[in-house]
Amino acid sequence: MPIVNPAIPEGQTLVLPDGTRVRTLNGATNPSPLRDAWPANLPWSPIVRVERSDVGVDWFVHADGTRSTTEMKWRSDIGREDAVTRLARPISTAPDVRASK
Amino acid sequence: MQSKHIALLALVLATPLVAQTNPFIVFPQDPERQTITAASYVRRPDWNREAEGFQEVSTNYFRGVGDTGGQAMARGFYHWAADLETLTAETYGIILRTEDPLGGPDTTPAGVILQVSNLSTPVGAGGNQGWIMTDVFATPAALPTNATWFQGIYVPQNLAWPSGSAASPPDGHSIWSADTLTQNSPATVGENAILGAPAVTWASTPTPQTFTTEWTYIMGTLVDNPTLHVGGIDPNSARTGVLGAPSYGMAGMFPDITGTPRSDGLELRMQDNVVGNGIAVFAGSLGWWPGAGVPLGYGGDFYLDLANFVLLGAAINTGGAAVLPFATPGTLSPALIGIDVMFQGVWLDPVTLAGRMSNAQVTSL
Repeated sequence: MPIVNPAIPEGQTLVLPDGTRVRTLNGATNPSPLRDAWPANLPWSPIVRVERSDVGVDWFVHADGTRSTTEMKWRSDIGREDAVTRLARPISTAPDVRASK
Repeated sequence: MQSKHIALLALVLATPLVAQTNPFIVFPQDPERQTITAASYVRRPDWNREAEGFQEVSTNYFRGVGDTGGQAMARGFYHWAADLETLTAETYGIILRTEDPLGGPDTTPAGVILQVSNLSTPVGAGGNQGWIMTDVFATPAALPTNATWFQGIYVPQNLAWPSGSAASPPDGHSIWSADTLTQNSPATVGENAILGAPAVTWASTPTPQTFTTEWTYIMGTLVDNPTLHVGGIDPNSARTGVLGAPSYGMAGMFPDITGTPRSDGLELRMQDNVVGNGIAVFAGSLGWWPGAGVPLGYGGDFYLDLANFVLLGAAINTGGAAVLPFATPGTLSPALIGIDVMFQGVWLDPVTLAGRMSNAQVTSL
């Protein structure tokens, strides 16, 4: 379970849309609040666990199946690493793959 | 008195449960508010090969995307991904580029506006599934304010897409897309611009080779300002998946008013995730104001010709989108073919009367 602790240093917290704070994942510092990625028409869904992908990225798993995370990524435009607050909402179906070009 | 203070304090401290940005997407439907029925296929920019896929944000068609007043900023990126096998994550990148002298994305290092590499999708329960990916930057990136640019996704080669390989069952990352009529694919849904309309998406390969592609994607840069799109209305078309429904991508940029047989109508649509109770006010003109956008006292800049713009009307939003009819089908004469009409709007907060300018868009009749 993610840590919800007011003693978490400011730069290592992710502010959730319900106002609570959790420790960031993947060593991210100073990420944008999760509300900046959370859709306006999607009710808040609490975090239920953390899971790691096969490429080594940790994701929060929300009760509704949404995933969220924070990562530090190199930004070519500012010449340094910068935090990215990330959201992945599952879609149950997708259009067909085009069988040819 | 004390209870009023407590209530006011609670209101001030309440964290709004709203996104703070809007994705600028050129696609027949609004993926944030409409059920997507217009996606033809899931596509990659160059089949299963490594490539960058772009949506062109051309000053011929759009101005003021991301404009907050004297500057334009990218706050992140949004796209609808499809993963043929969600037990494995898919790696991708975000890439924004300037225009090269030939009108395509500048593939040189100098052409990079922003590049964020090695992002990945999460893993899922297995099998073919889509993800709505939203990536928000802690530090916004500066966008061109008066020049064409290109917004896109990088995908690495994946030989397992779409049919699998000797080493893997089907797997790989693709993007929800809408084919144009020019693509002449078997899809019954997709874009509905006039046949032969200019392509607005591009692919760039490592060679490097760049070429246009005949589809649009559900992808776009997250920006601060409201987004405006023109909907083309062909009452006899179900290309959106719904007969006669407005198509807000290329059909609004390049409607068919030839009368042989189509005579499309138009409507204007503005979207905003930030001010939930906003009122959209729309304007139109027959040209751009020369040079950079002009501040009018609202957030952002005005790009329409100040000498001849016309206020077209206002609309109350429902769920963050406001629509104003502009021309019913059958009312735009073929004599208007060749005329460009520019549209822009402001999203007003009815309480404070503060407003934020949307981007501007051209409809080429």
